[in-house]
Amino acid sequence: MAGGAVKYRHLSRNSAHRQALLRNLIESLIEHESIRTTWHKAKETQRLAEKVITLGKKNTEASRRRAWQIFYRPALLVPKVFGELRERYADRPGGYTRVLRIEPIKEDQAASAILELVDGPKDMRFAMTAKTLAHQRREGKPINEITQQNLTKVTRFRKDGAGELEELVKKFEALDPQEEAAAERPQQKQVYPHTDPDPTKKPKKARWTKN
Amino acid sequence: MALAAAPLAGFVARFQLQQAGLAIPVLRRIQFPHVSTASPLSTSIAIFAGVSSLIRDVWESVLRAVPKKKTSHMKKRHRQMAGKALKDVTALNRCSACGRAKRAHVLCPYCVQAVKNFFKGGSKETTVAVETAETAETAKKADV
Repeated sequence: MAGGAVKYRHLSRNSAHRQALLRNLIESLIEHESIRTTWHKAKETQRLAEKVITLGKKNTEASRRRAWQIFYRPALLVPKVFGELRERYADRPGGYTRVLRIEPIKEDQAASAILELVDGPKDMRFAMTAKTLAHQRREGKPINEITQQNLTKVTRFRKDGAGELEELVKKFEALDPQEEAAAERPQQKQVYPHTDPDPTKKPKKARWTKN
Repeated sequence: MALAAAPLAGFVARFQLQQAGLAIPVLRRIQFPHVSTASPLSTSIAIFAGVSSLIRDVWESVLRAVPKKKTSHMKKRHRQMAGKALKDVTALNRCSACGRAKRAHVLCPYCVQAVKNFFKGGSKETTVAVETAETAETAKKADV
């Protein structure tokens, strides 16, 4: 049927390349619990990551063998999926990963996102909620509706969620607000060739082998 | 008149030839209308005489379409600049964690960096804060 939507993103890659990309991304996600990538890649990886965690929750021999097929370093990561993550997400019905939009990482201004495992040690929403509470307490502002919603979201399935949140709020309160205000905006990663603005430096030799 | 005369002349010639006893094909005796201007248009039409009339019409229009005048600076700029500028980002709101302006539905870059640095050297920062608090307490006790 012409003009119909695809069932999944192609990401400008052929089937083999796409499969390898997604496998690498979930490998990194399970290892580091939080990764930064383009928004479109994050949304595609989300699908595979949730399926992998579901395999862990099923905890059968067949699902374990399937998980071994997916990872590039299964000896390192399958025990984590079938152990730590299975326990962490035992009560949660789906939605084990989260995609949060961020400012473009690279100079090409590609839409970027953080892909993270929910309730993990590097949960960005958890940290942002704590930082918001610290800021609101410092400024003497009341908790608004969205912050209340986020509060319930981050503490609902987290073991001792409220306690951990309070601890993190205290740590953020201890940070120096003036140092924070003076912080510089993170520079985007360079993609395009940049000419050296310093004229005293010897110019780089032209490379005639490329192009 | 000339056209009318031509076939008559041809018929006359045929009669003469038939009398002579020669069988010459009719086509050779029919005279084509004389074209005064030898333009590329006519020659190309002659080339496509055997091809369909649609292609002949298209070829004619292609040959005839030409700009009348050099487009003025004003018109050129209007075409190039018409609504093609970068759009302003208006979907902005305040970050709830630091108060700075940020793009809507996108995490504040300063806060993300602060959280990242906190997770990296978080334990160090907390120990430093605790140490300074402790030294402050001991200093107070010493003063007292």
